[in-house]
Amino acid sequence: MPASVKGGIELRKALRKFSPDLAKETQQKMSGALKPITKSAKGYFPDDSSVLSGWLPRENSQSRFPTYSARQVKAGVGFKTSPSKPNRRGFRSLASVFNKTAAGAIYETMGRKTPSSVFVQNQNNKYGQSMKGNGKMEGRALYRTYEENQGKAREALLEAIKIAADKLNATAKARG
Amino acid sequence: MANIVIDILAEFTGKNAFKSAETSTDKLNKSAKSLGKTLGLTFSGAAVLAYAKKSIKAAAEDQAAQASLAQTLKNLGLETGNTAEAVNAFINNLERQTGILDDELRPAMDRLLRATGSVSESQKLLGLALDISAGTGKDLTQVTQGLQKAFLGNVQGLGRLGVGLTKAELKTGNFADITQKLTDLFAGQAERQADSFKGSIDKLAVAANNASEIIGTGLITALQGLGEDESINDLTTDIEDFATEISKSIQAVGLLLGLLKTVPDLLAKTGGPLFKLPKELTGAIFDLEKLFKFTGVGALSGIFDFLNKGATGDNTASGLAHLAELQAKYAASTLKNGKKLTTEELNQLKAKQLKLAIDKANLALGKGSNVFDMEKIQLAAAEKNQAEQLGKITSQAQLLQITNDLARLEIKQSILALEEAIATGDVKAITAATNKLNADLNILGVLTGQKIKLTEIESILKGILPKDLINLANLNEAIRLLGLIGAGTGNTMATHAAPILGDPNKSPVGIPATSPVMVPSIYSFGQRPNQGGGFDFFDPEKVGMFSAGSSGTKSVTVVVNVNAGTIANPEQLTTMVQDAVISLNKRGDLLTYAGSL
Repeated sequence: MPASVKGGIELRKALRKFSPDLAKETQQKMSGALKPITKSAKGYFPDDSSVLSGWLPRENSQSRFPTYSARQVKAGVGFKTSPSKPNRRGFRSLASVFNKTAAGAIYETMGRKTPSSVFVQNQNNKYGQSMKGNGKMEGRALYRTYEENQGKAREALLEAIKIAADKLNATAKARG
Repeated sequence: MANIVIDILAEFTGKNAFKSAETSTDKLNKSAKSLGKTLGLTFSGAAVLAYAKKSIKAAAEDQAAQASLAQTLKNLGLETGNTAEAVNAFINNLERQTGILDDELRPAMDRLLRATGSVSESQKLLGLALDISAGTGKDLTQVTQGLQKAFLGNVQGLGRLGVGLTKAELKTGNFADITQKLTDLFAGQAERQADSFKGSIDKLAVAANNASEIIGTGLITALQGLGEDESINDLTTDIEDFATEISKSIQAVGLLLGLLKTVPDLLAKTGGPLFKLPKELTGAIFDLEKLFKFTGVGALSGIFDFLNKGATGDNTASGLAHLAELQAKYAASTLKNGKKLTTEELNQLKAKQLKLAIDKANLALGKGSNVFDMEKIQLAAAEKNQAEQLGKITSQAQLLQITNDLARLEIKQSILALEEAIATGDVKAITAATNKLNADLNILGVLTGQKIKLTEIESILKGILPKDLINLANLNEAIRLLGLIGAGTGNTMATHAAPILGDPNKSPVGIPATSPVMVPSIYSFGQRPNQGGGFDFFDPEKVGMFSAGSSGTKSVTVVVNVNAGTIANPEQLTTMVQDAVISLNKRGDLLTYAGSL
C-alpha cells in the first residue's frame, strides 16, 4: 500500500520552476532511496545457469512462453520518480519500483497460486525457494527486497519531499 | 502486459474520480434539463397548443366515427330516430365499464351491425367479443372479425383465435351453439379485467381520451367564436395566442402564489396596509390581465358552458353572443392596458438606447486605451528587436549604435512613465520618473560622446591605412623607381636607388661600406664572392654542371628518371588480369566470343 502524500505533484512543478537546483537535489535523494531496492532485487534474480534449461532461449523455438534471460530481466528492474498517469481510482504514483519483463514477473510471482506445479518445484529445487511478502506483495525479487527494506525507502522519500517543501517555502517567504 | 510495479508514494489527484463525478453530474444535469424541458413543455405555450390540437383532432375523429356508425344504422334501415344515440350511449357506457376506447368499440359495433343487421344481436356479440378478447388477449378487432365471419358461416377464423373449440365442434355446430359455448367459456372475463389494475388504468385512459375529445369539441366551437375570420389560418393563430397567454398566466399564477406568501412579512415591515404592491406582484397581475384581455373571463366561462351543455348549434350561437357581450365589456380595460403597455415599452426602449450609447462610449474608451497600450507594445517590441540585434553585431560601432537605440527607447519609456505619473498627480511618482528620465538622458549623452570619439578614431585610422597597391599613381611611381634602379650604373646607382618608402635622397642603410656599388657589376661578369673575401669568376665545374676533367666544351649527359608509377610486377599483373576476367565471367559479361575455347 503506497504512502499517500498531498501536493507532491505541485511541489515537483514548483521546484522545477522556482528552484531547479533544489528539484535536482530532491530527485537525487529520491533516486538514492530507491536505488538500493532495485540493486538488491537484481541480485535476487538467478543467472542463466540457475534456471531450468527449458526456460532459456532456444534457437528455432516457436513457443510463446517468455524465455528467461538474466541480462534482460535484470535490465527490466528499475525505479521511477516521475508522476504516473492517474489510475482508475484517481491516484498518481510519485515514486515506484518496477520489474517490467515478462520473465522477471514470472520468476517474481510463480508459485503463488500453484506452488506444487512441476515448473515451480523444479525451479525451486534448482535455485531455492525464497518468497517474501504477503498476498499480492509476495515475490522472489522485487517484492522480497521491498519487504526486506522495511519501509526505509518510503521514509527516505517522504523525508526528501518534506525537506524540499520546507526549503521551497522558506525561499518563498524570504522572497516575499 | 506483465509488469510488476510497487508504488511507494502516491497522490490522490481525484481526476478520474472527479471525472466520473462530473459524468454523473452531467447525466444529472441532462436529466434535470430533460425534466425541466418536460415541465417547461408541460406549462409552455407549445405544449398547451399541442394538447389543444390533439384534442381537436380526437374530437374530430370521434365525430367522424359517430357519423359513420349513424350512417351504417341508416343504411341497414335500423335508424328509428334515436337508434344512433342509443347505440352511442351503449358504446360510451361499455367504454367506461371495460376501459376500452370507443375508437375500438365503435368500429367493432359497426362491423357486427353490418353482419347481423340487428342492434340487439350486435350488442350481444360485442359483449361476447369483449369477453373473448379479455380471455384470450387477442385484439378486439380481431375477435370481432372472427365472430362476424362465423355469423356469416366461416368459422375458421374463430378456430385461429384459440378459443378452445375443436375442429369438430366448429364444423358441426351452428353459430348459436358456438356462441353459447363461447359464452360459457369466457363469461365474466371482460368484467374481471375491467376490475383489475390494468382495467383501472384503461378506464383512466378512456376518461382522459374522452376529456380530450370533449375539450377538443369545446375548443373548436369556442375558438371559431373567438376568431372573427373562420379561415384555418386565423384559427391557428388564435389557438397559438391562446396557448401563449395560458402559458404566461400559469407562470404568473405561480409567481403570484409565491409572492402572496410574502405579504404578511411586507405588512409587518410596513406596519400598515399594503399601499404599494411589489413590482413582481404587479407584473404577475398584469400578465393575468393580459390573459383576460385576450380571452376574457366570459370567454373562459363560455367555453365551460359549452363543455357543460354540449356543443350544439344553439349553444354555439348563445356562446358567441355571450362572448361578444363580454368582449365589449372588457374593451375599455384592454385599451387602457394597451396604452400602459405602450408607455412601458417606450421606457424600455429609452433605457435600451441609453445603454447602447454607454456601451459605444465604453468601446471608444477601450479603443483609446488600446492605442496607448499599443505604444507600449511597440516600445517593447523595439527593445526586443534591439536585443536580438545585439547578438548579431560584428563591430563595436554596431554595438554602440544599438546601445544608443536602447537608451533612446528607455528614454521614451521614461517619458511615458512621467506622463502617467503627471496624470495621476502622485508627487513621488513624478519625482521618481523625472530622476529616471534624467539618468537615461545622461546615459544617452555619454553614449553620444563615445560615438564622437569613435568617429575621430575612425578618421585617424583612415589616415594611417596603407595605400592601395593597385592605385595607378602608386604603380607609376613604382615603375619610375624601378627605371631609376635599372638605369643606375657604378657609383651613381646609390644616388638613384631611392627606396619606395621614405626619403629618396636619404642614404641607404645596412649596405657594407666597401664599394656597395660593385655587387651588381661582379655578378654581371660572372663573378661570385669567395671565402677569402675576394671574388672568383663563375666556374660551372664547381657547381657540378660538368664532369671532372672535362672542359667547357664537353658534352653534357643528363639522366632523367621517370617514375611511371608501376603498380605491380608482371606476375602480379597477370594474376590481376586473370582475376578480372574470372570476375567478369561470373557476372556474365564474357569477353570471349561464341565458339571460342
